[in-house]
Amino acid sequence: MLDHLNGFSTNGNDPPDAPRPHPRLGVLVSGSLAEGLTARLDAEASVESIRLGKFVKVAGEKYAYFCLVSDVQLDSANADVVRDPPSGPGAADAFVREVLAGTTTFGSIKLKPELMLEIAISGEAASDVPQAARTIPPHFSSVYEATEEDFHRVFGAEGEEHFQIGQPIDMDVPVCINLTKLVQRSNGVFGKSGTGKSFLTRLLLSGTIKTGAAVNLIFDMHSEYGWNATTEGTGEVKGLSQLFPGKVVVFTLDPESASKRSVRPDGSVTIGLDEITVEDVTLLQDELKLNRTAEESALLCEEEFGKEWVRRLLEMDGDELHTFADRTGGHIGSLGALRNKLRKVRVLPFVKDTVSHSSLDQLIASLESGKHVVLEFGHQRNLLAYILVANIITRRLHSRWVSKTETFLSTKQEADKPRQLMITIEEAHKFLNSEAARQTTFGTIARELRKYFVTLLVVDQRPSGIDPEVLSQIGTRITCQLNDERDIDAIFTGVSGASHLRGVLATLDSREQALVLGHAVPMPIMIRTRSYDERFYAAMSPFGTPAALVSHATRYTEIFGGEDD
Amino acid sequence: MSPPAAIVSPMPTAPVGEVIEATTTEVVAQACNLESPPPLGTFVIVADDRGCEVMGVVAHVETGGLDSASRPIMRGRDGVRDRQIYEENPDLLFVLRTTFRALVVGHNAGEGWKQILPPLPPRLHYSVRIATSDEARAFTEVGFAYLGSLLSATDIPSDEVVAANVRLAGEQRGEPYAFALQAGRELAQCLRADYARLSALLRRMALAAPTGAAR
Ligand SMILES: Nc1ncnc2c1ncn2[C@@H]1O[C@H](COP(=O)(O)OP(=O)(O)OP(=O)(O)O)[C@@H](O)[C@H]1O
Ligand SMILES: [Mg+2]
Repeated sequence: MLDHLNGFSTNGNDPPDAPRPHPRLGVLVSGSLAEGLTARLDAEASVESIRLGKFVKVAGEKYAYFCLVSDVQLDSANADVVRDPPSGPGAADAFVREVLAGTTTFGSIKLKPELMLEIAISGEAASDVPQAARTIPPHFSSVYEATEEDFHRVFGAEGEEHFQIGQPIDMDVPVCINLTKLVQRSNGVFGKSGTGKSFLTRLLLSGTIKTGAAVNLIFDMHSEYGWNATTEGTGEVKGLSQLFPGKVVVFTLDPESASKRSVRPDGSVTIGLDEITVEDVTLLQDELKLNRTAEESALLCEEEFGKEWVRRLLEMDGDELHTFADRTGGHIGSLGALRNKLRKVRVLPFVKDTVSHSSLDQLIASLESGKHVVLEFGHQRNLLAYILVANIITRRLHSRWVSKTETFLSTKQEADKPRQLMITIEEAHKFLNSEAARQTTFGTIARELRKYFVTLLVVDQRPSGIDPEVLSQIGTRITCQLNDERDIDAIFTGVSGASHLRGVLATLDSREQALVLGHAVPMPIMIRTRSYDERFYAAMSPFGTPAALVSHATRYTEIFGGEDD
Repeated sequence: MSPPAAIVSPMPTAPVGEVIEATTTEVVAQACNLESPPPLGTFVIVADDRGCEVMGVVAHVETGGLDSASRPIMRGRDGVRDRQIYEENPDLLFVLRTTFRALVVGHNAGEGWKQILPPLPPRLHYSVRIATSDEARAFTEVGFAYLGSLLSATDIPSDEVVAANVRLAGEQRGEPYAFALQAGRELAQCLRADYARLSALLRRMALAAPTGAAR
């Protein structure tokens, strides 16, 4: 049995004496490709140590199969045992129970094969890349606890493309995601409030910044990405601009609050009334409590005044409004209501009648030059400000990137290739609910995928609020605990054969655990989120990890001798 | 109860009996000493001149008259009882005898122990000795198939014999609980169709064996 195991776990350069702990869990007794496999646990394997979602390996004859545990159950080979269980408190019953465990009474695990990997038959080079499981292993194949090596093989080792996002629940080895693949699609981070979405997002952003996989624009509603963010435990954690000095610039909508927190932003953003379109206003339907007819009225104004429509509407007094309504056939009540509601927009401190476009242009130029931009909202953390600004900026960016892409497609010059841009938005359902997704640039970006080198990283606690069509385009889903059935359904929109993952999702802890599935990982996996702490900061620093520093130091002593010799 | 000294001795021991009936499945021996035959469940060995050893498990012990013609009669009278009877009738030691039956569970023809029957029965009048702890270990190391043959023996209290053997062998191996557990698992496989018998047997083993505390 162990022989063919060695067949694939030896890749030629392992030292022969490397210890390879490979605890066997059990043996395969039945299964089907559609329904999954059933393995009987060995007497030594404790049923209590097997969690749903555990990553295990089945050693077949030609392939090794990587599987997720999708169910754990108690079985008995003999119905009589269950009828007369040895359940007494005495030593005799305890002995009987211990004898029966693993033979007459045993644990069974259900496994869902996800990937398979050809086993090297001596001489032939077996592929090193696991492929989707298309066959199942034969009867009585052994089931093993996955090793560190298995995790490496499946999820890759941290490096240029791969970034460690966490560890498996029950082991201390890195689980990596492929950042190149990640940024090619729109992605989602979901979970109830307080489950660690913002921390996870910060991790993903750090990865893309560190490796340069994409340039990021972050709409930072709660001012937690740029500079210090608070944590519920130990106080404060570093923001991205502290982790990557020189690579990240911070813009703010609220310079006052920034200076109170002694944050020196690289620029502040103002929005001109003439930059507000009908689309932006319709998106604010909930926040401004607009009624159905508002959009029509807005369109009338825009038709009449063009870009100036908001300012002109705001300036009208009662008579002018009447005249305007008469002339255009608009509804006076509706026009008046719209004007009153738009006053709420006008009073936002960062909204000006007219602005030179410098601040937005500066922001866009930063992105174009490869700098990552965090846009802090400061005290302007109401949804009104957030939606308005995010939508205006994203529209400008998107059209900029579309024209860049078109240039690139016609010149085919590598130098014209737009940078991959990833836009992070919290409260994503505000932009991507079924109604908004059809109208907003966010919806367009989410649907048109990577065509124009722009993707979204949506962060949301109510994924069910997001348009199903958008959800089904989401490449990689990182999901923390969710309780609402509709939200759970939403997570699995467009994922086939996910029924076993629902159970896995239900077992996540309320914090710092997540289920990762989709494009950037070869198979779904449950993780403990990587800690965002001093060690992480060190790993992100351009000088490498402390371990690397230490190894430099040892090299130094090797060459020049240590202090004590 | 501590085991008789002979059981844990590492050296081949002095004979405890002499073969008086032999088949390939069973050996009947007369105990050398009327009062100390090997206890129920003990591993015993009969060797021949060619170096072949036959392993048996004591399954039945019996004391009686020398032959069917001389049946023992009551000897106690006038308040003379028990041990005093023997003291007043020294001839008893010569008219009584103890015999024991051992079921053959395997043999060793020089290539290590095999838990299969020997090709030929042991020779009559050869000595029977108790297996040393090394021999018991070597034999049980091979596996537990022998328990299956003990279980299927009919005219003996086979479950009692199994329980006694597992306890004694576990003590000889110095790991009574772990051994009982392993043996129990084997028995659970053999008796999977008869849970009632299995659970009675396991409970009996638990009574005979030291408890989990000895783990
Ligand atoms: N990877 C991590 N490393 C260290 N601490 C973490 C990590 N993930 C979560 N935490 C802890 O959990 C707390 C909540 O996390 P976070 O703020 O990311 O939740 P959230 O899902 O974004 O919540 P909300 O929906 O309210 O924004 C943090 O304050 C922090 O203490
Ligand atoms: Mg958050």
